[in-house]
Amino acid sequence: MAVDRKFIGKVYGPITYEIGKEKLKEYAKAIKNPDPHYMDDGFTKKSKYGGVIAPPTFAVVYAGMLAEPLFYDKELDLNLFMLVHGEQEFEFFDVVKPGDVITSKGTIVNIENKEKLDVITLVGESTNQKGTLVCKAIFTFVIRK
Amino acid sequence: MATAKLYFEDVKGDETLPSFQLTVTRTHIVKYIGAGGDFFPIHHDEEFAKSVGLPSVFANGLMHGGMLTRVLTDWAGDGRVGRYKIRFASMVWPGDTLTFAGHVVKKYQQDGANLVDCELSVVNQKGESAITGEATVTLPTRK
Repeated sequence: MAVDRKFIGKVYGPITYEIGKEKLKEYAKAIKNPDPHYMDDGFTKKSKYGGVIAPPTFAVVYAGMLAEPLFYDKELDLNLFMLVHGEQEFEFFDVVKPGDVITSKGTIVNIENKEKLDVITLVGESTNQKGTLVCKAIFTFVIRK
Repeated sequence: MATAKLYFEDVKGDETLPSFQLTVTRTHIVKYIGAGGDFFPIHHDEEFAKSVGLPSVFANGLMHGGMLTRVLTDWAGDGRVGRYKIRFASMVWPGDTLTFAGHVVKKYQQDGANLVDCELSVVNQKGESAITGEATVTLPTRK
């Protein structure tokens, strides 16, 4: 069954996530990026950021949490076994550091009903504790029929 | 290591970015899942994956999608990626050897910022595309 376009505009969140230093290091290791900016306390003390920063795609952790309420939304009733991640886009506006409290809110901006698949676009906006927008994340999910 | 200090003046406009290869294991996949937080069983539970007709688990797209950013950060340094867009073209399986690559397509100034557009790719050992992507980095000038 096609995903109803009436859900365009539906909002998920806000979800709050506090950035932890060891979590950033774990993530950087998992994406095989051994950059000292992400994991070397000694190096980063002297860097322009004064400490460890998040790898850009760490946004998938704090903003990606918005996908969960979408996937398990009973109203949308998505067939998760037929769902694939089609595209992912991020725009970054500021660096994210340990201790930052990131609040993310997601909106379904489009639902396309095609012959063999539905496409859902969710836009997440994440701001830090100062109210600064740090990342805009655009998730595109494809559900085969 | 991404301690690169790249300036806008250094960019020719058509260069190839540093590439690297990785053979994917189940350990890479579960390590990424633990760090990234996507516990949908199709990526870590072999029995579950087989029960829905797949040959095995397969990697979360943002695992290799995250790894691909290293092509940018090793070259341009950190805190400089402004936009990053990837399309997932095919699934990545344990045992696949991936090549992560990129090249510069455009160098320009806009609203006082020095921008460089890059095209990115992840290709498997058969030459099949796993990811195509594009990114914009913002660079400082020497002055």
